[in-house]
Amino acid sequence: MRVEEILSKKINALGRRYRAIHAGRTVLIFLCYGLAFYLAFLIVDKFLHFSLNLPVLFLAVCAVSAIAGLIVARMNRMLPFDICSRVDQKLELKEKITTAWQYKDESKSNEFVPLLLKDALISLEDVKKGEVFPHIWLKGTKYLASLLVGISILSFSGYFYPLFERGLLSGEKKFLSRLTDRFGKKEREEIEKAEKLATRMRKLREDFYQSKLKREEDKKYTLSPDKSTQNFEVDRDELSEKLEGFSRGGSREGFSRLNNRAGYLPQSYMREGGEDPALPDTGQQSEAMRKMMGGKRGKSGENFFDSEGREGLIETGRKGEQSGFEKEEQSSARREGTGEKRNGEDEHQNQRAFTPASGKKKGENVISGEEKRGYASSGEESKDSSSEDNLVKGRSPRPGQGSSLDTQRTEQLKLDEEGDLIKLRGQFDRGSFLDSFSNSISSSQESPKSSIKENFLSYRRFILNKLAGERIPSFYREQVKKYFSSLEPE
Amino acid sequence: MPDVKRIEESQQKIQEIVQEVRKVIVGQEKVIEGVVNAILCNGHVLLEGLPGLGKTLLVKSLSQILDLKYSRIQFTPDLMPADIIGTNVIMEGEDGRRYFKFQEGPVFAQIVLADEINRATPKTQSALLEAMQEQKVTVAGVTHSLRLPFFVLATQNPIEMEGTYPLPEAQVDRFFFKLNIGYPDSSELREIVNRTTVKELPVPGKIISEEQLRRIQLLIRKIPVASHVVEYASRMVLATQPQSPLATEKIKQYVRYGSSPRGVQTLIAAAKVRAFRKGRFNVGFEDVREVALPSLRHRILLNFEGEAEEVNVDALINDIVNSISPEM
Repeated sequence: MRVEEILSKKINALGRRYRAIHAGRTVLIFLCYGLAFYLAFLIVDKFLHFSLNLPVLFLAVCAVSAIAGLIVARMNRMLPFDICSRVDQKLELKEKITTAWQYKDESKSNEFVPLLLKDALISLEDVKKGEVFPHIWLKGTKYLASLLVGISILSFSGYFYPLFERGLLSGEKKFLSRLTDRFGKKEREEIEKAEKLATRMRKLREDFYQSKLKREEDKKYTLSPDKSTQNFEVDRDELSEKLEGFSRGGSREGFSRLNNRAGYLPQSYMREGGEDPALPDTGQQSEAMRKMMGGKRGKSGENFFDSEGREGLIETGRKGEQSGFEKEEQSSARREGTGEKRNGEDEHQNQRAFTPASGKKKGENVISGEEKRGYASSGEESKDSSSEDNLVKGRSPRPGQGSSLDTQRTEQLKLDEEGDLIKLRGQFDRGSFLDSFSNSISSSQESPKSSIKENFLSYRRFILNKLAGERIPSFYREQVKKYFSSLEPE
Repeated sequence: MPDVKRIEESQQKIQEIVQEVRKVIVGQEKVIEGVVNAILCNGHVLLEGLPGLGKTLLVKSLSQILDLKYSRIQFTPDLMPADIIGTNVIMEGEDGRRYFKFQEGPVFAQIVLADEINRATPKTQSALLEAMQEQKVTVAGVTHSLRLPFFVLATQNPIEMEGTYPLPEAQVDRFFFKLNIGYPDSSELREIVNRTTVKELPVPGKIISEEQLRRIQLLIRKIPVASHVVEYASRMVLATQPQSPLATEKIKQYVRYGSSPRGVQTLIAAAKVRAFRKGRFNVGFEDVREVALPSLRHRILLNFEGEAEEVNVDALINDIVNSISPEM
């Protein structure tokens, strides 16, 4: 290889290294400028809120700086002659390499040139590239760049955290999600099981109560037709009075007492009625009741009670039951102000409803067919009672009958023309617990289809069933259930 | 002869010349170097110094060493140009006919010592112009070539001395170097005393022939110079011009005229000689810087302010050297 070629090769190698270093330095300087701009932008952004994506901006600034640095480095790149000059300067060769590079093609015409080329090669022989162009950082540039990069990265560390999280914690995240799914599945299964169990328990309990009630009913309310009918009528009226009082705002205590008393009735009937309490002959009962009513019953279109009888019953009820709860209810009604006054009106109306007035007057307190249909749709009702059937089917409305007054918060005992004995309707507290209870005794000459106890018990069953379907808080549900459960006859 | 050997021999010869001069001249290293370098570049030298510092001895010794025809011209105020270049005189032939014959002056030598050149009138001084530049002399319309190599080694007393006439700019510019001869120190003085009073004066021998000298001169001219070195020398010369953007503040303030293009020629030629003598085959910035003072100091003419403030031209040149960077 000729001397000139060797020299060219060496110079080119040095030139590549120098250009790389120069480009790196230039890019670094531009990067410093770019990052300084970026930090200035961050400060301005604090006040003006450009709401740009900081990592993207950071990368863009870096990219633009790097590209600009490379372009500038390319524009200011050194030619081989400049490289030689730099080599001479670094190695203090007194322009030997430069002159040799410049005169390398004049070897034949100038006798000094071959000597100069050899001399130049000897000078470059043991020279390492790192000696000529060492990686010398500009003063402070390295630290400045590091500082700027650090500050810039810290400025959007919040953006990197999700990446870090995704990168390093993805496995744990998957594991946790799997765990959550598994537990969720188990939980759902457990809930389904618990719901099924609760439903079954509820059903069992209802069945148990109903069967128990049925047994009690069958056992305790089988009376002799004569005495029991008489007593029954008396006590029923008495009970009606109580219920009426209760409807005017009866307390739980009064109602409980009433229940106790109602529960006590079968026993008294048992005592009065003889040894055979189970007397299914309803015809005898009807007869006895007709006797008790003074033979006024049996006429078609007449009330089961005439005005005297009803007033007598009311009076008896008032006298017979001077329990404290009526007084209490009256006093509480007084305390309630206008609302209570209205209750008082209702009471008065109820009293008037017992008087033998025109059908129009009576009709005011009778629930219309529409209302009855509404009640029928709102819950399950006992199918035993004929009056209930009337309510369900809407057969009840009669000429002159209108909607009852103030049925929102009252419990009423009604007697209509056909002999419907009881129409109990109640609303407790302010919830949606709205229920109706009706009992009817055949208005015709037929004997009553059901006893008051049956009505009472069906009312309780109905309440319990209704309670199961109502959406009320569990605490209140338990309290209400407890309350109605306490209505069991002793 | 292989080139390397010829170069080495030439370097050796030059070294011998210097050594031979040193036998006669005590001290004055830079002057000797300068004079030798100027001779190798075929240039004229203006030596400036007080009388008795060995100027004449130096020149006379060189003529002996180089084996060149030597002549000495003592410049006086009444010296006429014809006394320097020669004149036509009427001659009578054997047949009695009279004719003009050119009588060569002292300039017809190879080494001319123009002693105290500034004592002659400018008219006489100018008589050397053509000889120094063209190596020719024209008398009565007839041009006479001088024998080469031709060197003029002029000495002058400091111009502030009485009875001196400053050299015209055109003539000064034709000198290759201007060398200032300083006063020897005590050791040099002792040596001078020893050489001149104790022993016989050493007689310098012939070292190099005229032909050899010419070959060396041609060889040195071939030394490669990188373009950026030439550029550096050019900028340096341009910096001596007060109107140049490269000029320093002092140059602008105290200089009336800067160096002519002969300054660049001188710088590069002298740098080549210096590099050659240093054993290198190329010229560097350092060579240019080293020869800047003798090459440029007589080419910078101070203005009135500079003269009044007795500005040292060498200081101005040093400022230029320091201000001009080799990097373009």
